[in-house]
Amino acid sequence: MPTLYGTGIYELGYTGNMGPALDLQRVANQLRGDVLRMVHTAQAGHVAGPLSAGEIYSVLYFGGVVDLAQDKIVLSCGHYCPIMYAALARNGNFPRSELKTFMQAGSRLPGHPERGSLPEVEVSAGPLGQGVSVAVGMALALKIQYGQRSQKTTPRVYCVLSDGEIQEGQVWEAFNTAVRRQLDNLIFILDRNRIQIENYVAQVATYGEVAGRLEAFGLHVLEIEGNRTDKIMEAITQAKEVMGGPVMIVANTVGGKGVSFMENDPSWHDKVPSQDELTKALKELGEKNEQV
Amino acid sequence: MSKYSDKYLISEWRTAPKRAIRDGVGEALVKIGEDERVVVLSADLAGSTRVDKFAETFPDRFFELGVAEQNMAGVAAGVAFTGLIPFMASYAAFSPGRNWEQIRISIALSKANVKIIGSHGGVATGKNGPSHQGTEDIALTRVLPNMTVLTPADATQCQTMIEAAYKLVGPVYIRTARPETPNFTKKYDFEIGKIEKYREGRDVTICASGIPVWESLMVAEELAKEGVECEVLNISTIKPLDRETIIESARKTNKVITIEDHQIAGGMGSAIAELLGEEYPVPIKRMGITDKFGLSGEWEEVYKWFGLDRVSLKKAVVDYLHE
Repeated sequence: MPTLYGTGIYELGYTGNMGPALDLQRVANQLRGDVLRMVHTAQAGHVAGPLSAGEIYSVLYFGGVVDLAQDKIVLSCGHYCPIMYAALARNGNFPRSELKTFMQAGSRLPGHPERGSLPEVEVSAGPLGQGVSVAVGMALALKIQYGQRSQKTTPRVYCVLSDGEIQEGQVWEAFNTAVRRQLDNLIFILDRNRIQIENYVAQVATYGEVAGRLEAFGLHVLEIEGNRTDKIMEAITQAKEVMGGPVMIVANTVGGKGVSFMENDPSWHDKVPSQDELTKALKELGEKNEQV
Repeated sequence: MSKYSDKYLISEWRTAPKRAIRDGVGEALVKIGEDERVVVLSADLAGSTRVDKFAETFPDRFFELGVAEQNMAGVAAGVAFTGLIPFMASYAAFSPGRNWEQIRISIALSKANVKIIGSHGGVATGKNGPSHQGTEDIALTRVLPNMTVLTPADATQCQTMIEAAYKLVGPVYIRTARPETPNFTKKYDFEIGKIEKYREGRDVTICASGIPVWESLMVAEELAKEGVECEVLNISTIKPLDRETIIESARKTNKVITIEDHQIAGGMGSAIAELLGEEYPVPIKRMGITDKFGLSGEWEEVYKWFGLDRVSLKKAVVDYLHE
């Protein structure tokens, strides 16, 4: 039964199916381990954001709810790219050993995503907000090309963005277009980790209840615990049933999630862990203490 | 044999009927719109950029995105990534003026097959004043890797250029203009990267782009009566520059003057100076907007103010030759 568009904000319930969810949690921590190894090897890169999105990337690439053969996954907050690269490698899109080339001259894994560096990198990103418009353009064009086909068979666009990112005005321009054009093949996932480079988001911008603000723009908002794969699975499943407009999944996450001394600390936005910190972090994640 | 090119110029080019350069946009888009991959995006200026003709003919492939140029650049990139061919239209002052970074990353770095139409190029925009006069757009676009930059001299050439841009895979910027000016060229097979020699001459090369091209021809004709033979080149493609034709002309005349309705810093004249400075140094004088903002007023008056009118141009050429 499709959900009618614009029925409001609500917390998604627990489905009771913990089997695959447990596996996906494990995958999330594996991806986190890869992120930390990559950043440590490169001695550069971002940490807190990619870690907060561990479960989001686990579900997008391994949850079975996204049709990887035809759907598009757009990363708009480009500095999260280590976790995208890790997910692509673990999905078999390129050898995992290549992760160690992250940020090296000539690597296919540049410090911010560049469209075409790998076939699966859909957009160039880094300057925040841009990928949101590009995702809107893709969803719009797919709707044109698939014409009268039902919403269920039209390829979908998933766009990951962050809560620091929505300080960019372009994001809200893009929301206007997505809503006006009724892009129900477009699902945004907002990683609300509450930190940004300089500080806590709340110290920089007064969003209040961000979900209410997004809903006021006409987005169909689902607000969830964003570090639980079962909740993300359920939200995406639900979002795919929404017709008549785009869905915004507000995933409330913890910056630096999974590593106690990195959690909820803006200084870990882009800090490189020392060898000792890496060892300790991998242990907490249940990951082997090895380089990529 | 005439010194004027009958390959490119209509026989009555001196008294050609007037049309706005931007008028070429609508007709061309309606023609190439037969290809279902062509999509047009507008930021609330469909009428004055002339893409409204496409909107009337192909309403399903026209998208009015509202006053949001940054978003339009990103949406265009996304549309292109699915295999469609988007044209995005606004005023040059706003696009690439306001959305330059979106054009840089979402379009140029990504090699997106997006065609950017910047209308109201130059102070010829007139009464709306400097905020609406795109006087830096050529500089902004030609510095971007992967970008092709085109400037039509009249409505007919604008039409041909839009068709050529459609055939080229990759980002293209096309600069149009607002006022009605002589529509003096013939329809011909325009080739991106190949400029046109409108008049043969031995004394000085005038490199012109946009509205000043026709004026340059008229100046050349007046000066011919005084024994000065100007070679007139239409720098229709500003990037990539037609090195061969420009250097060949400089080699012949040994004096080059550039004229454009744009800041002389970074514009077409700069591109020519860069080329000749490195490959065939000759004296060069650049005419255009000299590090000032534009002015609100009737466009011909504004052209006089900035020395872009025929009298000023002629005087500048004569003074330059006597230096």
